Amino acid sequence: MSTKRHLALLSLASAALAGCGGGANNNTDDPPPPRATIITAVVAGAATAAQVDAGTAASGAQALTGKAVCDVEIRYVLYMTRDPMGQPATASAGVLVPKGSAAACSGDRPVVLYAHGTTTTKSYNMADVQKNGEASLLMAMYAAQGFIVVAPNYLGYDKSSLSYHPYLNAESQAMDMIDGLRAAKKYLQADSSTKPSSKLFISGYSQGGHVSMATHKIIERDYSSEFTVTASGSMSGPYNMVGFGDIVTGPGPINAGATLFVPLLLTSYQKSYGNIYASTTEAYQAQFAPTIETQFPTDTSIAELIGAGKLPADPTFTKLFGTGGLLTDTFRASYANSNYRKALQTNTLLGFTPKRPLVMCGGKLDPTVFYDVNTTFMSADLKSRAAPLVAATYDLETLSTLPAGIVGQTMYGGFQQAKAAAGANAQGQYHGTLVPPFCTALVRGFFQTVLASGQ
Amino acid sequence: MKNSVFKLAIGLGLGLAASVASAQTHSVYLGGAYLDVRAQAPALAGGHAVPAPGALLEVGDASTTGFGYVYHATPQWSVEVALGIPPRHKVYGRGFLEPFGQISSVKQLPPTVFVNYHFGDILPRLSPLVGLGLNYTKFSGARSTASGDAASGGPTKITLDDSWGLAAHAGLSFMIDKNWSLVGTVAMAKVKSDMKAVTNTREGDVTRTTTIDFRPIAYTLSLGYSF
Repeated sequence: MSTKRHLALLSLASAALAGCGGGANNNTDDPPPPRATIITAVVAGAATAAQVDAGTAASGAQALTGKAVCDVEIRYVLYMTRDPMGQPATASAGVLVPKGSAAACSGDRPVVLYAHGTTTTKSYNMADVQKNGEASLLMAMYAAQGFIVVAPNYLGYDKSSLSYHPYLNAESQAMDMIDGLRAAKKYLQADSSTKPSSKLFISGYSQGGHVSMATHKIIERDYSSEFTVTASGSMSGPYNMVGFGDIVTGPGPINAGATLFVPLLLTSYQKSYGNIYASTTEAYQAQFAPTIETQFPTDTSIAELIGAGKLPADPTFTKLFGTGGLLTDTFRASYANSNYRKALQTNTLLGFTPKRPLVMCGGKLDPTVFYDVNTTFMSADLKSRAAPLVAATYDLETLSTLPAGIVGQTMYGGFQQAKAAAGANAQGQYHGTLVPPFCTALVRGFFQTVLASGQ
Repeated sequence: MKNSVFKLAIGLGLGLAASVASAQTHSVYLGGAYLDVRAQAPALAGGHAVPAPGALLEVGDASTTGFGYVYHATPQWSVEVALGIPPRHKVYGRGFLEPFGQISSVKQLPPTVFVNYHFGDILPRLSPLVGLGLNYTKFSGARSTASGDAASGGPTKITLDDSWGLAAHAGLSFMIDKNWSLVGTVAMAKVKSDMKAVTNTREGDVTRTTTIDFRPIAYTLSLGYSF
């Protein structure tokens, strides 16, 4: 045997040997865990029916929520989902579960998938029913009445791994909602005596109004083999993102809260689409440009941020433009053909034709999420395609839009009374405090009607 | 204990040096190695608190192509330089990290020098060998997976210190003919490394650390050519 042949044989043999073990360099990573994989799931607390009643009696909401029928168990789940780029990311949800011996509190219970409103607070947690007003309202309104509430905290909040929040990105937020729902249902199936039924209601307020409608749309479009939406009720949401943006970024008026909403929105779309600006100075005035992109969500208080000059010093949060304002004049001037406007267009929900009943609710005088350009527009759009399943568009300012009879009268009267009681603060409290309990009660009534009708 | 083993290794080395001139045979070999990693590491320290038992790791097994050179000083004594193509090990989350699956991977280059003692044939053409030596392991290309970044809370850079430690192996050699042989060994080495993972978050860098005792067992099968 020649040396050459020897060496050839040697390398052949060794290749065969190495082959046994699967090769030397395996650069193929395992795929990331599937969406909705549970990372942690725990019982986070409990409230008896009496405790729920004590809370609603103190807040004055009991006239709307009714007396609690069920005790409520509070659960928390951290789950795997995907960020807008399709990369794995974690997010968490609060899960409020009815408990008790009454038939309405045990066995298979309908699920309300709820999308919360805008917050700048990173630690916002819908499982924290003691400190979180939105969660405590849901507990009294739904869970204590026999609905399981699944309320995702959203990507970017609480223990989420994502460094920003995909604010009002319809596709991303719907995906997060769906994965939160999947994880919560899986958890309850495995660990709770009260189980989720196949009835699925979707609701949300403000930002969550948009998210809930987007979730309804995307479940019917992409997940119909897994979930059937029973009905949805979206409240005070910016459904017509582009129309709303055209007003706020154009002639105005500027909505209350804009200086908080716009940074959340620009960062979200910049991170998702990458084309909103080449540098933050293109959009933001020099004072804010260095820090604003990574500012929200945060546990630093808004007052502190204003004090540090990181937000316009304006208690109405409307100072978007001009001296000391948030955005540059150039950004405003180039808005009409901007990628920002295109992103708003992408996330506008006009054109959605639901396959299951849907209501909207809001107040016509809302200074934060303008009613007409959003709710009235969306309603007209649905009607223009003769979407027969739009059950109602409730405007708390217009009695004729509310359910006929005593229910509508009570809601209308109660809302006007609450505004009167707020006095000079009524506008300031309109969107965040006054409308939510009334709309939530109206939407719940609608859900109960759908359930009772067996549709 | 460690000291005495080390002294033995030195002693063997000296013994070898004395007999280098007596027989001059060289061998090269090429084969496959399977690395069974039985790593132990305390929970990662640093970053946000996570529920018990904490953020744990498991280092996956790997296989690679091994090759080396043996200098036969005498029929009984040899010096071996064992090399291999650096295999990439997958690292999996355990404890709190378990649902994240594969969180990172790392390559290791583990050159080892052995002093071997070859026994006489126990069956025709079949002889056992034992060896003691010194292992150096250099870790390279450590990276966090996308799932690992999600577990850590942001883009994460991982580094592992190099490791020096004793190694030992035992095996059987089968002479196919006067040039060719088939050698199978089982090897162990002390491989211990400080790991540091630095995660970039909006609030600044978060550093997590642990010390991994890899406790590898390598199973090798090689074809040798002597000249």
